[in-house]
Amino acid sequence: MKRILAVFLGVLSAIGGFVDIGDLVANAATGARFDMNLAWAVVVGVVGIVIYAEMCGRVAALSKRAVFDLVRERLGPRMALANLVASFLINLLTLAAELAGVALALSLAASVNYLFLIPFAALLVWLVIWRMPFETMERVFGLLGLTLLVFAVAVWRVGPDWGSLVHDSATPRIPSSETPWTFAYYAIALFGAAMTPYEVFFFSSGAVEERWTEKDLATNRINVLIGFPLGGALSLAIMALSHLVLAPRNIDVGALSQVTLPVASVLGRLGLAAVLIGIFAATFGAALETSLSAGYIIGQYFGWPWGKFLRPRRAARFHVVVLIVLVIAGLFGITGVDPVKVTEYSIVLAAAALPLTYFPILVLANDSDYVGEHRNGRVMNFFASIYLVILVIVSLATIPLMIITKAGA
Amino acid sequence: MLLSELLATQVCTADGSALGSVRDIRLVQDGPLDGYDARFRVDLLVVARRSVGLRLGYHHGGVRAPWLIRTIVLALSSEVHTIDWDDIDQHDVDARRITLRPTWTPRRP
Amino acid sequence: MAEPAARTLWAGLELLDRQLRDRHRVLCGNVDDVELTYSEDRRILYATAILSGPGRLARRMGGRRLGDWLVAFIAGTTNDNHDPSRIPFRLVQSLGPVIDLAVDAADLAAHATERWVRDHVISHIPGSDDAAE
Repeated sequence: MKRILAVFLGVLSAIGGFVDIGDLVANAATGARFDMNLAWAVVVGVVGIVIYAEMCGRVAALSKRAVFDLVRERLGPRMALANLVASFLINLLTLAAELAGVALALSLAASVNYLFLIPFAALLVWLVIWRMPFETMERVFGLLGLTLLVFAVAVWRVGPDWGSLVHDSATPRIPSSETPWTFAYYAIALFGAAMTPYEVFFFSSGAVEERWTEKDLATNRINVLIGFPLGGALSLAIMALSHLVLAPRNIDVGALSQVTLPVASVLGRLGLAAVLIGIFAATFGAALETSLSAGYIIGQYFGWPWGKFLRPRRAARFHVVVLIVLVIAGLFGITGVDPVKVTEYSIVLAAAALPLTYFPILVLANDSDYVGEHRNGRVMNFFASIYLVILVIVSLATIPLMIITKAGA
Repeated sequence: MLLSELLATQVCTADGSALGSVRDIRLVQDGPLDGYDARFRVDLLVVARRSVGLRLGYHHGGVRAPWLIRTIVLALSSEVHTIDWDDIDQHDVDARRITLRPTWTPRRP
Repeated sequence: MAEPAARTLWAGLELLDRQLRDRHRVLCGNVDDVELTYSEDRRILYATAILSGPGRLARRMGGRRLGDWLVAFIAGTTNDNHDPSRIPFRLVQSLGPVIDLAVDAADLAAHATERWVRDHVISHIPGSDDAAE
């Protein structure tokens, strides 16, 4: 019984933890501009993350090592360093966006300028990392993130024509007000929001932090196969609500308040309160994950002792990196740079860097030195290879599209 | 000498044709005792002109899948030679150059 | 050629860049390079030590002067004359996915910066000795 409860909580945390500022902004913005014509991109992204998170978790549980630990061993220090630098910089950008998200959620509730709240948010994130145990952290913010289900409630309240919603999602077309380039650009943004690299580093390091073993493989699969798709469904609810409420009024999403607007207009004060709690939890949780990821990838590359499971004194460099990264991201946010733009850049650049992160995982999941007899089966390899090709194409297309569309204008 | 220096060493046959550079070395633990264990001695060299993803394990590491990556990695790599340590005639450490004995012939797999 | 009966090891695949652990299973760096020494008659090449620590990786990746300087700098901070970035093979207890050593992390060059950060930064923050888990 206790086991079932643990699994249930795990799935719920996975759902609540799936959405971060990238998903919020990307889904809300595309819903307003493209209606449901980019829903397929979310689906493709979710399938991708399910495949790779399963492999990641498996490798971590069986080899007891995290992905970045193994990247240096298998790709060599040069390639791994290139990977490290790119991942670290994108991580930093993502963290800045998440901290801004936390500050914005708080400011919408407290009517204080969000810029003042960024240092407060960074400090709070650091304190949680310093004091709260790993599993507690995951559970609390994962479960609290479930309040984002208010988006689904709002969609249901609007009472849309479900048939046409499904039909529009299944038969995508480029709206007359958009070009194929913006269409592709936003598809990549959604893809990058669903398949964020930091998620992979965090997921595998977390598996080592929580001391997964072969027995946890089944739980991992359940979390990933049920939790992530439901998280994806939540993303689609955000997109649908935007499409139903903002699109008819020609409102574009340029600020976080426009993400919450549809919920407030449909469900009133209570809905607004719920969505603000949800956004706070989602962005705070993501800020925890991205700052820890920075520590993980640098620590693992250099072979330092790492992890929250160690006393800070025993993992000094790891904790200092986390601290420094929070300070830099916070400072960046305070400069007043547009948080929605930062978010969009972070997910698009993350999409461009995806092959770097996923390629080693695919190889590792096929190497018995690391996964023993649990190597990838033929079917898994087939789909994972197809995804690798998709990721390479996406990666190559990102910068040109960014230039052509002037970053999605 | 450092392993990193050995891995950048050019290998050529006695008549001067270049086979590539040392990409990996095999150690065998059959040397004289040093403490509790026998010493590790270099017994094989893997040499290639171009090797992509040698560390991934598709060449001499036993990784076989996925098919797509394996095919690309092997296609991008040039011919790989495995050379016995005994086939080495001269090793000029400073010039980073190894010359093989005239009696060496490429092994047919 | 028959396969040798003794244990064999591919240095590039199984040694280089592997994680090192000390005798208390504390992570203490990676194998950044390996020291190879010729026998007296210059006929046999032995692997004599694992090299790990600031500077060793830099040197391997092309920054020879920076690397050598860092190695010397850290060695200079130790009390005796030995080089803490050099781990003789006889101190290797087991070779596998992770390489276990029969030494303490504190004796290794790779630990020098950990100690510095711990003493100058982390120790000053309250709660640094609590098990955060």
